[in-house]
Amino acid sequence: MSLILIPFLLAAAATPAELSASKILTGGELRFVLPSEPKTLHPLQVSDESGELIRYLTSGSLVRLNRVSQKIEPELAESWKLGDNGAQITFQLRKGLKYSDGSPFDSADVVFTIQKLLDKTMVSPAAESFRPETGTVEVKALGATTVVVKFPSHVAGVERLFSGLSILSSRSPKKEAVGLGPFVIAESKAGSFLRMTRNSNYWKKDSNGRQLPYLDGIRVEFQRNRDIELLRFQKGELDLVSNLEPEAFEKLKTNPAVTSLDLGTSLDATQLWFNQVPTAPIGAYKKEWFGSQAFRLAISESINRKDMARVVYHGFGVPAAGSISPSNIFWYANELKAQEFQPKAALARLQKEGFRLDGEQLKDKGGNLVEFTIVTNTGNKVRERLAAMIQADLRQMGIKVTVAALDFPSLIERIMRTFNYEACLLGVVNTDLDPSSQMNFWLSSGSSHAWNPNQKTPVTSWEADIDKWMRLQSKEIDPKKRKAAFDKVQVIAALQSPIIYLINKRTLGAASPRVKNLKPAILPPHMVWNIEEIYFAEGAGKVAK
Amino acid sequence: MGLTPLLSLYLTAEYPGKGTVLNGVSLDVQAGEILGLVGQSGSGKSTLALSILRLLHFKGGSDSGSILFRETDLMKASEKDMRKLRGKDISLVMQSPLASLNPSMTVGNQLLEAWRAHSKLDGTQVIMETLRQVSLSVDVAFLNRYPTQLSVGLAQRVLIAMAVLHKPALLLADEPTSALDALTQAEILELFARLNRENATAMLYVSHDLLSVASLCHRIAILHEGRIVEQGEPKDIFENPQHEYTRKLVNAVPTLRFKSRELIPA
Amino acid sequence: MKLRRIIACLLIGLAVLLLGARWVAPHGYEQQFRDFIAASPTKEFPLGTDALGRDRLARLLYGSRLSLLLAPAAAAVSVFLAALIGGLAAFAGKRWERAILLATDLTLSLPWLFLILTIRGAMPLDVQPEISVLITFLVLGLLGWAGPARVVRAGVKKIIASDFVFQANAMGTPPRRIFFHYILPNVRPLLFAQFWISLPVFILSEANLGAMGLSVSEPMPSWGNLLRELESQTSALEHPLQNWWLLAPIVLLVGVVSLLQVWQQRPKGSL
Ligand SMILES: Nc1ncnc2c1ncn2[C@@H]1O[C@H](COP(=O)(O)OP(=O)(O)OP(=O)(O)O)[C@@H](O)[C@H]1O
Ligand SMILES: [Mg+2]
Repeated sequence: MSLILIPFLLAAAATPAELSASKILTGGELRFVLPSEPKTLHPLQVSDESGELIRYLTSGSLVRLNRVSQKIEPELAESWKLGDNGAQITFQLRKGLKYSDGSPFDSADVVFTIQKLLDKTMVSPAAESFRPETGTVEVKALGATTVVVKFPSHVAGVERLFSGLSILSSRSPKKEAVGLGPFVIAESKAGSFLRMTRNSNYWKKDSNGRQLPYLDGIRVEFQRNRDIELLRFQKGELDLVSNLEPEAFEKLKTNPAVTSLDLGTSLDATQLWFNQVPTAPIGAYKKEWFGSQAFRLAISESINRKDMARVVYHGFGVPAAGSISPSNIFWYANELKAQEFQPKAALARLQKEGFRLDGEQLKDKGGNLVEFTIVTNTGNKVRERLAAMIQADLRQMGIKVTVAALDFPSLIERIMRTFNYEACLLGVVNTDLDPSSQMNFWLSSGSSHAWNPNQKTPVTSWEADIDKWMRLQSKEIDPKKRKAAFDKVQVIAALQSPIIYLINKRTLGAASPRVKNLKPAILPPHMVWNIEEIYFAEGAGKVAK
Repeated sequence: MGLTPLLSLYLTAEYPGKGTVLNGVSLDVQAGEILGLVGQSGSGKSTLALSILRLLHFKGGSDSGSILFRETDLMKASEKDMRKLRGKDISLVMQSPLASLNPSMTVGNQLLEAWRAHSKLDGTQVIMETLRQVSLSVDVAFLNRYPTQLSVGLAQRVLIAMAVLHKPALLLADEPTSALDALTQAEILELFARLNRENATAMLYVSHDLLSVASLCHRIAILHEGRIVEQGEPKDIFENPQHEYTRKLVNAVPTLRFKSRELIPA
Repeated sequence: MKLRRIIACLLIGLAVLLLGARWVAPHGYEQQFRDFIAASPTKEFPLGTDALGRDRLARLLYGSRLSLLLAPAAAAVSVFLAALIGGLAAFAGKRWERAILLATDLTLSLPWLFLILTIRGAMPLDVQPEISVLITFLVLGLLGWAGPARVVRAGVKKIIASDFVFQANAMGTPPRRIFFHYILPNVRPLLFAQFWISLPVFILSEANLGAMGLSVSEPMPSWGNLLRELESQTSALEHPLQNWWLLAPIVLLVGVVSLLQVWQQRPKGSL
């Protein structure tokens, strides 16, 4: 048993003693598996998880989000400052840096990259936040080491936009194949693997002046089957596994030859919401329930989240309080608490609203049986179990729940276009800490305002309030004031429960004990975000086969 | 003869891809007469029999000419009229008795079925009589048997019983004995002779076995290359074959060759 | 044919056991004992509990009942369709025959998984689990006609061309009588054979669909979702003896399917 629980706060402060130079050995190849091959390796065009990871390992950005402290840190830019009410950012670049092929790095490369990004003919998911709806973004170099980027208006948390932006070379003949990251792609075989070797021109050195990265290379294999991945990991053929399901994690915990890592509560949440679209093709009395705050709260109170965490997640889940996970250090509203399981209070609340128990069955004031259907997507075992637990909990309340598992396209069709559904159970993946990325979800006019999207004017006063606070938080520059505004949003959401948050699962992974200096984090790329500092206990010594 | 024949035909028949099989075959069968039709395998004997019943299209063939039966041309008869005629006025006995019986129907029911095809009256009496006539037992156990439980000889008798149930004027027997052993063969031949005597049923008896034909038939017709090359009484055919093919056939019969050696010393 | 009689007794015994599931099973199939998650067998739970603390014995009994009732129904539907379509192909002339053969080939090569997905997506959401199960099996039945239809067509053509049908024609038997007394009774054994052959196929199809979460919905059990659970129990398959209770659904499924297979291999001779 070698379970290391890493409380995220502590890990942030850790300046490991083991980093003392004498003990660190260089060399060796780190091996892990990705579920699929990247669709493209062009750093500005990657759209999938695999491409994103390889981009991260092979390129450099102006700033980087420290995945543990969740703060933006200098990278290619040694400093930056905001100006013009948050509409302008000025970067001061490091001097003397070189791309992997030896070509020099300066402000021209940054300007080149951003202009490329702004070029509307290029398809780039990374470009979205750089292309505002009105006005244009301007970028110019002031000498070799200063770059100014001007946005048409204030952008909340603007520096984080640059954390995921790979800086291309404007001069290298090899174009986007060269990078400023710790590794370069050395070999790849379609559908099978991709091998990276250390970038000898990488600019970072450790505190003892040793050239980083410590590792000689990385070998990524593409394998969709997770069972095979786990098997190979346990045989020592792989060094890392991440995003483990609780069941797999429990199994690994019993294996003394591996280090299992609970990285902490993830940002992702499983959530349930009721359809509140006024034009939805469902019964009028049902719309009345779903629009009732008391009904939604009663349902929320009737669900035993602790049981869910214990039974479905084997303890590796925490009852969720809202859209922001407690792991989101800065933005989580501390006064929020996950809803307790209170079936009696729920029943009282329902009775006050005119619902009554008729034998085993709950009826509304019009005498209609209280029953509804939860849609979810097929093939997700965890979610099906959650649905079965909701079913069982609500049956205790006299509410009959039917679960319909749909394939993903039909599910999206129903919840986004036809609105022909009553309730939906889904997982939401969060990778961005900043609430600006949730704008489209919270605004009543937003297209992903799940329970009633695209409202012309807010239907309810509390949605109008949320709109107000969201807009305020996005206009404000002072992080404290932004936080205060967004806390309001979180509190209103909890009070009204348009979304019933269920569980934040924990992010689980495992590593071979020979991998040292890991700083695993809940944010991707969980285990390798500090790749340049990772080393093997035996260095280049033996390589397990 | 002078009398109008019961059956008088002039036939041409062909199969697609095979070409003409019968090429202007001309035949008469008198009432009460047994006419033997002899020809080698593949010469079109079965084709002729099927054509008379206007069933050739079942096997994919087509025919033209005229088939005068009781002075009406069957070629011009409607399918409905033909159905009324088949099994009642002209019936057929084929060469594979077991395959010709419905495997999922008892003997008794098959006989009933044959009866009901042309009569709404109660057939029990007639069936009993016919069974006796073809020397089959009339007990219930036998009537309840399924075809798989019959020997070939019994099956052939059942088929013959079905064929003569309605006392047809003409019986087409297409190599009815070829599937039988020698003893049974003799019994069946004897049965045909008896039916002809007792019911005055005319027969077209098809076979490639000249000897059995000779013992049974009043007249023999030789079919060769789509035509009737010779016909006459058995004695004439054997003693004085005209056509070269007939001579060959006659010479191929072992016992007769022995006889002819005696007659004509070398 | 003593063996067949023994098998029939076993199957009937099983059927009685399953029909009496309500009295045999110690608990309801949906009842969650959340303090006994994935428990090993005890007196209370003879086959242990599943990941949500539900009694495995109850789920096995109810699930088997559902699969064993509905698979024959689906098989019957598909064989009935096969008889109609195959029969039509054999009777209705060259053009129909060619069209039907084409349709058969198409159906056999159809991405029927996709079809089932589409039908599921189009179904109203508030259909009860019972109805959705019925629909799943009905769809399976409706899609399963093609294979048997080919066999039926070939069989019927053989019968139409047979000597005894020819003989019936030569006796002047009217077409209607020929159809009902000569052709149909002789197709019947063929249809029965097809039924018995496709029965295990349907049982396995439901299991496969269930394995993809496309069959019976929670909390109702079927062989499909019982087997699906085994997917995540790879350790159970590595040490089958220590985890025998987890394998009960597989054992029962394999058992029943092979019993049916042996049973349907009736002595040849009727046709
Ligand atoms: N359905 C058919 N389609 C095509 N050709 C056929 C068909 N039936 C018979 N023939 C051909 O027609 C010719 C005559 O066949 P038929 O069966 O009438 O001969 P047969 O004299 O009865 O021969 P056998 O003594 O073998 O019964 C043969 O050459 C045969 O190959
Ligand atoms: Mg013949």
